[in-house]
Amino acid sequence: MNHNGDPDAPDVSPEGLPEPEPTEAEGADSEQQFSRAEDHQLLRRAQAGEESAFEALVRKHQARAWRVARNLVGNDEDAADLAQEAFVRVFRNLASFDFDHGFTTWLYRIVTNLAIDHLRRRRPVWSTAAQGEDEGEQELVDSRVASPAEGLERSELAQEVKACMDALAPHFQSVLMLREIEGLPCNEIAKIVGATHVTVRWRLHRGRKLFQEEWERRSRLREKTGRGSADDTNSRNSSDVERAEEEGLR
Amino acid sequence: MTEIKNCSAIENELALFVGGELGPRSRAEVEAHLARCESCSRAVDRLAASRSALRSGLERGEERMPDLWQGVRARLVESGTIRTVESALPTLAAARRRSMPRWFPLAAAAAVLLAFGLWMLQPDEQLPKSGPLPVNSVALGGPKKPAPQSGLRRLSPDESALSSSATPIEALQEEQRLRASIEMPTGTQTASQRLGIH
Repeated sequence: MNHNGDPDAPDVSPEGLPEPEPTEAEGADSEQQFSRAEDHQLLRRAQAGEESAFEALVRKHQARAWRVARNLVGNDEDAADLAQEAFVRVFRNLASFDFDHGFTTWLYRIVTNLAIDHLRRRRPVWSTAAQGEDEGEQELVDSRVASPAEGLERSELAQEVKACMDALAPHFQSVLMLREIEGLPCNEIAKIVGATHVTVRWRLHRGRKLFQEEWERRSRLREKTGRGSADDTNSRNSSDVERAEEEGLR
Repeated sequence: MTEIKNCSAIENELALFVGGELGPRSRAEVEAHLARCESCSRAVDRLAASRSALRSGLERGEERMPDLWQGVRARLVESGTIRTVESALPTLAAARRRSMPRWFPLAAAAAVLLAFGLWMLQPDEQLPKSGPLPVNSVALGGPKKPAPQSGLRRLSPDESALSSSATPIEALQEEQRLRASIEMPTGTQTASQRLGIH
């Protein structure tokens, strides 16, 4: 166990990380409050046995459930499967829903946990050498000064980003994705992943640094070989793996 | 006045700085440092570039997203968690068919009607119209003391109207009969009778 009560986190001191201060992004606006009230109304009707209310709840939140799953597991079919399973679990546990909390927090937690379990069962991506044989055709520019879209087509960019994310441990992936794509504040992410606010900020800080290292490493290799990530995935030696595991990379 | 921290103190704040997670005080400290430190400014640029790639590369659109509801519903039905109205109604009807013959409802209705008709055709004497039921009509299993009656009743031969058991009205009736016997017409009495000599 480390200082943050996070069993998965590397034992790196967070001293030096600033104390959490209230930020503008962490306040709930009136639109969110209305949406939350609407969710609670649908939940009460669903609890009373109204199937149409549960259907409305699914249709309202299916996009975010699928998106979270898709960004974590990396393919459409598994994402749909996990998102559907999440809603089935929601239905089975309707009676235990705590109306002091938001439905989205609950849904995010279920989807994230299912996706992380899925990732942990899956083989590590870097052990497959054949991935992205043609990715090396791209000529990358210096990531410090150029937008990533300038050097990569969107689908190729998505593959590169996914490869970098796959290199991170699941608890870093989930926090990064919930913050960067879903735009959730750290206090809500803390509820979703079952960690403290400080731990979430630490994972966010560390996850960004690890992603940056992996992104730059892959960029350098593509520049050097001109062939892309097929060579890149094979280029890790055992010391790389040991270092990565220590720091939260997979 | 914002304190200007050194590089080692600011390094751990840069990743949160690029994501906008710092509070106003910490953000001001970082900005003050970056204005003077080229090395940390480059570090912020690299972090911002990789973050931009991350945000651009992750999935945002739902254009490929399938409609999940039908799949969710199918799983709930398949697992028996919910049952459709369409499937529930035939099941209920089938259960009813299994538990009773098809002619049973008609036969039951006919039996009820027959019983009602027989009850209506019963003779009147069997139906006491008023007053208390006879003792023997009440299945009490043996002789019972009649229930106390309210209102008038007929005296028994060995019961005096003046007895304590008689009602005031009965006592008056008895008294009237005695007076009438005393005031009988003369022609119908002997002298001794009139004088009370026996």
